Formats: sequence, structure tokens, C-alpha cells
Amino acid sequence: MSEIPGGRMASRPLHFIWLLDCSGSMSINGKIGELNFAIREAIPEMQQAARDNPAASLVVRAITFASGADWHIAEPTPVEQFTWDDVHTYGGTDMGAAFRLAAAELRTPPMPERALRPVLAVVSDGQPTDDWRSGLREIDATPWGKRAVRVAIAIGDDADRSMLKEFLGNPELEPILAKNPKQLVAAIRWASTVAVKNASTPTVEGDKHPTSPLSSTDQDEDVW
Amino acid sequence: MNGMLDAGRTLVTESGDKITVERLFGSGGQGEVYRVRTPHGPQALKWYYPQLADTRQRRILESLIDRKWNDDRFLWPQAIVIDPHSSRPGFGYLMDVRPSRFHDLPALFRRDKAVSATTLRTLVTVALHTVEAYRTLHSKGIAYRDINWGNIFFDPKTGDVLVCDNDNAVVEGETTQVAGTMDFMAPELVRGDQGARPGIQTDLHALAVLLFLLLMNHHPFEGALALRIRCMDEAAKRRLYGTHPVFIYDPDDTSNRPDPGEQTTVIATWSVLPKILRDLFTETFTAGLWTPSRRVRETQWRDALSKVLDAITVCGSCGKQNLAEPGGPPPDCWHCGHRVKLPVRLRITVRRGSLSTARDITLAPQARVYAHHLVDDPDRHDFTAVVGEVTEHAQQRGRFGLTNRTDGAWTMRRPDGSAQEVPPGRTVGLKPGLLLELGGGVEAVFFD
Repeated sequence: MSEIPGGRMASRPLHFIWLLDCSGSMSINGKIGELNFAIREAIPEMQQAARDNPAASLVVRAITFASGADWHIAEPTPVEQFTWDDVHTYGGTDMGAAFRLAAAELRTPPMPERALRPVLAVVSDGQPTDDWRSGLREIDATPWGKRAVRVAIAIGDDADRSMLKEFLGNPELEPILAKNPKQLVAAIRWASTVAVKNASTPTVEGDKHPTSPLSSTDQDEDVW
Repeated sequence: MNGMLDAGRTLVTESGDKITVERLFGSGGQGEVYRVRTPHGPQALKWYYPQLADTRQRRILESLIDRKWNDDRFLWPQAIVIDPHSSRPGFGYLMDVRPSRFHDLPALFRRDKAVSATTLRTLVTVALHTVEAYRTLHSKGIAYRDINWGNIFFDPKTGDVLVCDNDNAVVEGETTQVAGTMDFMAPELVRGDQGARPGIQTDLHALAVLLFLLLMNHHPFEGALALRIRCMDEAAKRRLYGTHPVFIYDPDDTSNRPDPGEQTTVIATWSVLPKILRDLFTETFTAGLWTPSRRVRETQWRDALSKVLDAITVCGSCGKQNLAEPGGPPPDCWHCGHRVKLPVRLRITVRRGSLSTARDITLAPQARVYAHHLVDDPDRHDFTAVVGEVTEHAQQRGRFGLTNRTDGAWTMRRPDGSAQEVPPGRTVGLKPGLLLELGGGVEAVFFD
């Protein structure tokens, strides 16, 4: 824009990392397909949330965990260029391995000198099968990991909600329970927009009372 | 994309109108916004998240709707909507759909192509309209309480604004659930001082931050001190905006000056900001930080912005619009660096009884005289009411005059006493010393 002085507003990077459960149980009743669908659905809104926050440059990555953990998208990708390749199931629930993978990226470097709070979003349907506590401690030991905005989505009743609550690290926060595809879409969308908003333009007490579209007492008949 | 309400769902307004959900527009911190069909045409519906659809919010909405606000600068709540088929509590409200000519401010802050039509004139006009819109609210005793870059929309071609998300506005003294966006919150609210509540005085701080962002494209407290912070989290913002706020151009405290290597935008924009506006920002972001009663009021912003708008001039070398200090020396062009030659100006004098008000307009190409220039205390700046316009002579390039855009004739008087009529559509050459009688006792003189 050359009619007015000054360039674009200065911004800080906002690193968003998905940690996705790809254990064998996620293949039951097509849950993994629902997860792929929900993330794709959330991309346009994630892009909108980024557009609404000019002081943040949102970059997204994804880790999958099953037997071990892998980077599904290793490169921090600007959300405007973010596309989703389906994740697939392959074994156990090595969430600890995923935590360690994330922790390695939450030091400076590779993190930049200055940034907004990163967002760590865990989605799981079961019980971790490895030493997740040690992985979580590794995240907590990094300067960016301990400051991260954390979101946890429990898919169905078998998810280890008390473990996810420990990951959240805030007694006032609860994992979001998604019991059907519609709730999962809403939960993923919430995680990818509200968490971005909280990290980039915090409101006073905003973190303590996250507003979720899902009320915890929601009784929907539509069960997996 | 689906949200809480499925497409095709029917809802009703409290007065019984049937509403059909068409599609989700987007979601925010409090709820989701849908496009809906109503007996009166397409409208927008904001539907609250269940936890927020409480009696307090409903009471606030009812009182806003009862005001039957009819002002085209606001997307005001019009009717409460409920779901007659659901046992779950829930409600929303209807408002008009935002016309597509209005864009969001983040697009401007990112310097997006979609808003590249924005000029300095429209930018200052946006600031002026924003100030006047909040002045109107405040003059009726209503506090907005969450002024931020997400609830003002603007037209890059005209500078018109539209204020959205008015459902948190309340009569001064009432409480709402919005604490505000930290970047815009008054320090006493960020700190959580005892007795500090969001209201009109804290709106004035948020408004000043918004104006600074708009004109400077940078936050007023993000200087060297912010660059020392690695993780910009709530604690960091609490310090920068609440416990230790230092204006980046505080004349007595240089600790937070912008970094010349990293914060170049604000250095560029502040350097060309007229002193009249620099002084207001300095006052409100130094004394006004600690003493809310010293915050710059909308009327002060309005008067200063109006003068700055009337002093905009055009660089003869590169053709870019430039801001100039009203009544001050010619600026160096922000774009090409050449000293801008000031064109002839017009001094309009409005007399009412023994009082008179004078206003100067820099007659740069395309400058306009508006109806609000002809009254001493305009209620609102209306940029569609054009009275006169600077135009170029059809045959003689480079010769400019002021064209009469009213229905009535002006009288032009020369210094020697001779007079001539200027009928509608005709033009007077911009010659210093010529006097114009614009009617109703309003006089104008061209001067150098």
C-alpha cells in the first residue's frame, strides 16, 4: 500500500503444534477419518483467527503418536499456506514420545528469541502406553513449553482425562470431551481459534475462563 | 462449516417473527454469527455460547434493543432470538448484515491489497468517524467497554466506519462479562486496581490506543522495553500495559523509544504526524495513564483530527497526500522527500451573534468544503454534504479553482470592492485576497 506511510504492523510468531493420537483404537468406527475431517474443517477458521490478529504470525506444525512419535508436518507452516494430509493409525499411544519431540522444538533455538506463547493442542482417545510424565516434564523444562497455551481434546469416554488434565497444568481447566463427530469438529475448531486468540491477544483472566462451545453437561444421543 | 445451529433451523424473535438459519459467518469469543433469513430480508444473528447466554446478558441486550438506536454507524442489536424447539436455554440477537464495502482494521494493519485504496485522507476520516461514533455513545451515557481492532470496520474509499459487537455496550455503571482486550485496556483495569471498572473513562484510553494503531500502525507501548521481552504473554502485557506502561514517545522517559532497527514503521509514521496530534497522544499516554480525568476526550480528538484533515496537502513532485501541521510550515513529503509547496488556503469564518469561529482548509487538488465547515459546532462530520470542491480548469492544466457544489449562488468580492456572482457549478480561481459570501453569514477568504 503506497498511499500511506509505514509498512505492515510488526508481529511476533505464534507457533501452534498439534499432537495427534494415531493409535490403533483411533481406527475404530472411523475416528481417525473424523479427526482428519475436523482439522480440515478448522483450517479456514484458523486462517481467519490469524487474520484477525495482525500482531501475530501464526505457523502450524503437527506431531502424530502411536508406536513412537513422528513429525507429520515438521516445517512451521504459515497458516495461509497450511494444508492437511491425512494422518493414519499405527499402533500404541506413545504420547510421551510426542511430548519429547515437541520439547526439543521448544528451546531457543530452534524457537526465535521473541515470540508469542506457543499453543500445544493434544487430541487423544485412549491411555498413554509409554512414560508420558517424563515427556511432559521435558516440555515443562523448556522456556517456551512451560509458557505454552495448552488445549486437550478427549475423544470419547476411554480417553485418559485425568492425564490430559495434568497436561493442561491448570486446575481450572478441563479437557474438552468430544463424543461424536459434530462435537469433535466443534472442539477442534475451538482449539484452533480460541487458543490462537488467547495466545495472541490475551484478555485479563481470559485464560482462566476459556469459552467453549461445548457445555460439559451436553447429553447428545449421537454416540460412537 | 457447521456450528451450534444447523442450516435450515428455524428460530423466532420475541415478537414472533420466524427466522431461518442459512449459514455460519464466523465465531468469536462469545458466540457464533450466522446469516439468517427473516421476514424483513437477510440479517445476521449472533448466537451466544451456552455458558454465556445468561440472564445478565439478556437484560443488557433488552435494554440496548429498547433504545431503538437508529444510526447508520452502528450495527445495533435489533431483536432477541430464541429457539422454540429446544429445551436448552439459549438466545441470540438480530442485527443488519455488514455491507461488503466495509473491511476490518487488521487488513489495514497488514497493509493488505484489499484495502489499498486507503489514502491519508480516508485514514484520518476513519479516525474522525470512529471518534464521533464513540462520542455519540458516550454522550448518551453508554460505555462501550471493549473498544478494540475487531469491532470497527471501515470503507477504504470513503473512510466511513461501522461499529459492530455493540452487545457489550452498557449504561455507565452496569457490569458486563467482558473484561476487555489487554492491549486496549486502561492501566488501572490491567492492574485490577480496587474500584477500577470499565466505563467511559477507560473507553477513552482504549480509543486513544485504537487511534494510535490506526494512524501509526504500531502499539503505543511497544518500544525497546517490549523487545526485551521474549515471550509476550499475559504477565508481560500486564507489565507493559498495566504496572509499568511507558509511552514510546514519552518526552521525559526515553526508556521505551522504538528500536531503529526493528520498529521502523512507527518511526516512519510518527515522524510525519502533525504536532497537534502528537501532543494529544503524548498527553493521554503520559498524564492520562495515571490520571483518567486527563485522558484526551473525543471532542479534543475530533477537533484536532478535523483540522488535520483540512490541512492535508498533496506533494507536487510525486502526487502523494501528506499530513501537515494546521497553520504550520510545509512538510517534507513522506514518500519522495521533497519539500511540499503549500497551496492557497481558505479561511471560513462562521459568525453567531458576537462569536465567530474560523476554520482553515488547505485547497489541495480534490480538497472539499463540506456543510460541517459552515457551522460553528458540527454535531457530526458528514462527508457526503459537499459545498465546494477544488477542481482543475478544463483547458488550462495546473490552474485550480473552487467549484460551487450547492444549489445557491455565492458572491465573490475582490479587494477593490468589485463583486461577481458564482452560480452553482461555476468555479472561482484560487486567488489570495478574494472573499466569498457562502450564505447564512458565512464568509471565506483565500489566503497564502
